[in-house]
Amino acid sequence: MLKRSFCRSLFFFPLTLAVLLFSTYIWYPSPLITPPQAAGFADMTELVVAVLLVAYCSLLLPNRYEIELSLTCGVKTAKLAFCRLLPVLIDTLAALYVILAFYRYTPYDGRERPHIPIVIPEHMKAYLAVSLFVTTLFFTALYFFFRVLTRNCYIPVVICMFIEAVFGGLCKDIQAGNVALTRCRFDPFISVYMISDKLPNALAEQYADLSVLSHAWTYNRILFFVLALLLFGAAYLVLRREHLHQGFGE
Amino acid sequence: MIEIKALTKVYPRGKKKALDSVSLTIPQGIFGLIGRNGAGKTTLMRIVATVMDATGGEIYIDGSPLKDCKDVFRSSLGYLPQSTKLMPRLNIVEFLDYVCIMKGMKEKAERQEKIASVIETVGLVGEEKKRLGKYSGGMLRRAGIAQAIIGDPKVLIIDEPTTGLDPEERLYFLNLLSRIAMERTIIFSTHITADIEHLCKNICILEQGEVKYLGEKEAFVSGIEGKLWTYTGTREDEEQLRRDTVVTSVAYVDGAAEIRYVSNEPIFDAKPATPTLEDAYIHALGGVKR
Repeated sequence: MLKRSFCRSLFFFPLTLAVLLFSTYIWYPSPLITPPQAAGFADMTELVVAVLLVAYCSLLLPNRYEIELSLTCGVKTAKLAFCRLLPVLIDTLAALYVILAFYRYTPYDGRERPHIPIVIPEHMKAYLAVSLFVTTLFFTALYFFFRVLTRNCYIPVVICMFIEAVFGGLCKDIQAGNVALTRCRFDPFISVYMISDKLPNALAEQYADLSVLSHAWTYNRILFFVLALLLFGAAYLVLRREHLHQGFGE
Repeated sequence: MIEIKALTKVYPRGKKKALDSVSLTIPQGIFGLIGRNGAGKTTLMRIVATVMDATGGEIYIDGSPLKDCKDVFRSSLGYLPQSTKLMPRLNIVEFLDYVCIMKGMKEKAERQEKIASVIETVGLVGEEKKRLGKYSGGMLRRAGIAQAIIGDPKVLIIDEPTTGLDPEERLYFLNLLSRIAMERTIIFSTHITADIEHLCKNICILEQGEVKYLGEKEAFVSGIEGKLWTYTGTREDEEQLRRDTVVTSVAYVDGAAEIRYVSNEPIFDAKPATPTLEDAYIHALGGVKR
């Protein structure tokens, strides 16, 4: 089943690639990205990937018919959902890394190399990967939980978008230095640049000791990872307790 | 043979029991399950199909408790749910291939052979390239039956398959069902009595989660033999008959009411009528609604 799902989801790789290329081009036509833009670039790609994944989940989560069918064939709902979603998650993240590599290595008009290393310093790549993974996991869990709870595929999208907007606003306030930095512990959009040496000036001036940012980032990622697991667990319990036969709705 | 003993289902937020101590025995052949919408037919089908657990009671398959032989039973089970939302982006071959994979058929050649065979059985030859989203209601039902019979299951559970079909498609579907019924146990639920009139020998009538009747169809229908009358009269006559007897149908033709009712003795100048399954069913439910 997993092999079949991988084959059928290959389409999502070029689709994600195209959407990311388009959105990055719209936002940053010039690959010459300077430090203030760099922060936005990372945020924006995170956001686009999260939105795309939610949209793909809406399309791909098995409907009630499939779940009933699979249960009579002895295939558990969790396995069915896993086989359906894992390939698309891999395809989407692969497209994201292709885009990042593209911006990193493509020369611009032969005049100057793009300054993408500013966006993701070499030693920060692992942090970026963890950051993206946790954010994606959190929003997938959030979507999944509300999908099971509301039996509707549109309401969870609206809820996710609302929460993204709230946290996005908080992220901007933190960047601008308007809000205490400790608040960034509770924002899933805390980005990799928060622990890099390319901080927005407002923050860099406010905090001489940048290790506080590193701690906040660690705390934040653990918090949202645990929250994601809890949401998945809660969704599973709801599904198991009373609505298994209804699956994820129509 | 499937034996159901004291099966009860209460939904977590349900105010009443969806199934209340239902006991019945389902022999080989087509077994008809009739009941109004919300009578508990689909709940019963889902529990037997192992899609949902019961709150209480037990199901036995050839003498063994279902909970002990779930996997074995599933390998000999075909299920057509009420929903027709198959996979709209797939064509019939891709859809059946997916079902075969879920049923554990690993050999591609074996799958292809079985798929070709069931497509022919359900009369969808020539429609292989069309996506399921473009199929008509009748074709979708046939595609559903194809997925249910692939792998040659011994038990078929079919939930309200004729809802929304036009008369031609409905007849085609019922004929198809009688063709594939050989040496199989088919549990066929419907709220349309005409569907099982000529198809089932044994029936069960469910009403508000309880068994209202269980047994042979002929015996059920003969229960009102000699008690069914037909009379053409006015609306006032109809009112009186509704009060004094069990009215099974009323049709208004040219301003007059053609009334069929069940009573030990004829009222007015009524003529005896030959009972149908529908008459017996409506009588069992307490008469036709206004």
